[in-house]
Amino acid sequence: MSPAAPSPSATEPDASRPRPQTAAAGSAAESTLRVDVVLLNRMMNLVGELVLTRNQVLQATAADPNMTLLSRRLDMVTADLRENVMKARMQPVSNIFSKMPRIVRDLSQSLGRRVRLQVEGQDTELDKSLLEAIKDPLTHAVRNSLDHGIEPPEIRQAAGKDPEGILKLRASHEGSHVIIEVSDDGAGINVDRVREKAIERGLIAADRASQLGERELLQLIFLPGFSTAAAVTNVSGRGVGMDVVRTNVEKIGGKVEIDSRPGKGTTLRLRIPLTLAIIPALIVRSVDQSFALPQGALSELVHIPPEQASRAIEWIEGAPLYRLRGKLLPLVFLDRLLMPASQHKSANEHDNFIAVLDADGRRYGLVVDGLADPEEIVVKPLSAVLKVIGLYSGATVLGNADLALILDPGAIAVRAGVTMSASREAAGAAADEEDTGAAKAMEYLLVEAAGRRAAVPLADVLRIEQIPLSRIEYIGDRPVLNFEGQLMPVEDSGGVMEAAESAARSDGEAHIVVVVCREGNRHVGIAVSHVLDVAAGGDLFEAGTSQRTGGVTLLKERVTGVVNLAGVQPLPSDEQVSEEWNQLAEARS
Amino acid sequence: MSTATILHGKDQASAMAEVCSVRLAETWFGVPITHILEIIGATRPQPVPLAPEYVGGLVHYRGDVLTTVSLRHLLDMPPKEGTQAILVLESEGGCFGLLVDAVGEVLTVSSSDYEPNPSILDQRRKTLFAGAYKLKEKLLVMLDPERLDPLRLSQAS
Repeated sequence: MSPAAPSPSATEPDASRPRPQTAAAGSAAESTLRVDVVLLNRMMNLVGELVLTRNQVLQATAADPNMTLLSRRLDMVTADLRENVMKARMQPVSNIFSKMPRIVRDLSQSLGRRVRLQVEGQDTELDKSLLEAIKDPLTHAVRNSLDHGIEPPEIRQAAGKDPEGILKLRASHEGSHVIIEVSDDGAGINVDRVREKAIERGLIAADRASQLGERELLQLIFLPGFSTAAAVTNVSGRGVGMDVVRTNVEKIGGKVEIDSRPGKGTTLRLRIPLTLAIIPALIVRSVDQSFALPQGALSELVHIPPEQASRAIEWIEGAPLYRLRGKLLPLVFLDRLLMPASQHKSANEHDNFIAVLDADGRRYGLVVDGLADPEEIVVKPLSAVLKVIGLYSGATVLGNADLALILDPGAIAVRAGVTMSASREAAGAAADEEDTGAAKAMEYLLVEAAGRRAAVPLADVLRIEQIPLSRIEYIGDRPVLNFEGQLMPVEDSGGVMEAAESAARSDGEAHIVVVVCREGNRHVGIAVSHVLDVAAGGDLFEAGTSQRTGGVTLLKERVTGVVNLAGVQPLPSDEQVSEEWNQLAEARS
Repeated sequence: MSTATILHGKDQASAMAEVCSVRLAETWFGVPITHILEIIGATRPQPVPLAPEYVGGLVHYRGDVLTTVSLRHLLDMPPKEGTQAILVLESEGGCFGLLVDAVGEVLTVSSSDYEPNPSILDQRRKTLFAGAYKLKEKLLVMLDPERLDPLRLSQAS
């Protein structure tokens, strides 16, 4: 019996990478190639230069009709090349996660533990060099969890726990970071013992140690030379543990957080920056400059025209606030934050946009002068002198060759909170929202699809994209959209695409709006002509009864049909397709 | 230690060095060409709000984002309207850009014409300059790329 039966998720073949049925396992070795990372770095830089040159060519040839076709091709090929070179550097974390079942099995056997390994988020991609850098810290953390965290089966049973401990590895994106969590349901860290050991090993003076709180005591385990293990074993106890984990992670600009509850378990969280990763960002304008705002933190956008600004933005003793659906949202003016010394135009002289951000549990509105398109940006690290400013997580080169600084929503919240003491309010507002969330009326996105009005539940809307009609592709007769590298079915019950196509004949390229929605665990797109508004829906009752009618809602005093997201047919799955292929093959032979 | 002083110390007769001349308002400065990676013509760097004042902004350089140092600011001159040229310099801390008004030519100078910084120079300039070469018609004040590195400047200030 293996004490560390790997969980099904750890052994399952990667479902997101369908392999052609015909490719035999043996040919895999021939289809891949080892490439020096230095070469990839150089390619990346060269592609960057190519993009710039392309932009100049596009501008120079804009007037010449003979060149348009050629420069368009150049444009497409460059974009494709850039994307592929970037992809070449990315690797899924499963590359290092896949080594863990074996380590866990071997270790738990030698330590006499029973452990089940659970792995989540294996597809999360990280730049190759970063992945390499976190391999050792992660292995270390796993060994630690097994040795110090999860107790032997007898002790677990005595404590009323399942004799089999659970070790969880989880990778996910959070804003401009990838989070890798190693958590166990073991004994947790005994802070009193940590204090004792730290004093014993002379890492901290006894009188100082007695003043430390629980959180600060936990930080002591990151000191070099620290170990609570009673005896030095093969596995640990040599005092070169967590400090190495921390130094290695900090070397690549990451952070290590630890969270432990006695008897319940310990969670070690590695926050790894996406130094080279591609992140979706919204380009905003302020102080006559472009800035990139990571979309991970963005929850919605509000437009305030100049004539409404004085009424919409309210003040409490110098702290600007906005009433967002009845709740006060603290505001941060980006221009005032970045250029505190200079004179600023008052809000009612120009358009204002509020980007409602959620960063580390702080909810606030960032006021900017303008919005540009969302873009997939490549994060470039800043030099040390600019890093210490603290508000920027990097810089990027935009499609039009302009540079933009990438704003760090969490750091802005902290910075603004210090001067306006608004952070507490924000936390309170966020908590309130959760309480009242259930009671409030359902909100809908009101859209127009080829002349008819329809409603999409706002909670399910992830993104609204305006795309040229040419980006819609077809599988059989089903329209699909390549959305952030994944195929997404597009529902077009209203005939929006047809209408857009016929309307566009006169004035160039046809565009449609696709509302990207979450439905269960997949994404679906709804093709619409325009997005009209956001409104709270009222329930409708059938005359004379108290029975709620399904599928419709009352929006802005008009009965509006609600789009049924669950009704969107899923795309054919891998098995279905291969079945069809098999049938085809059989029919042929 | 600057290239200029090394040359001076090594050979009393006449070691030759190549120096790129750059102009700032009416003054000419020299930068040893061994430290110059590239010269970028007219550019307008992207300003960085809240950055130290001597940072002239960011420019795009070979797929990377390069921090530039404004020599005008270091020498207490008013900022220049319009574009400036950039010398991409290499130092121990990595690459950085130096914003100058114009780039002149590459001059061959002899160590016999070299003089160290005069003692009446103020402290700030003493740390930025690395002596001067006496040319026929003017003095060429040498800049030391190591000391212009933004990281070094941030420690100094």
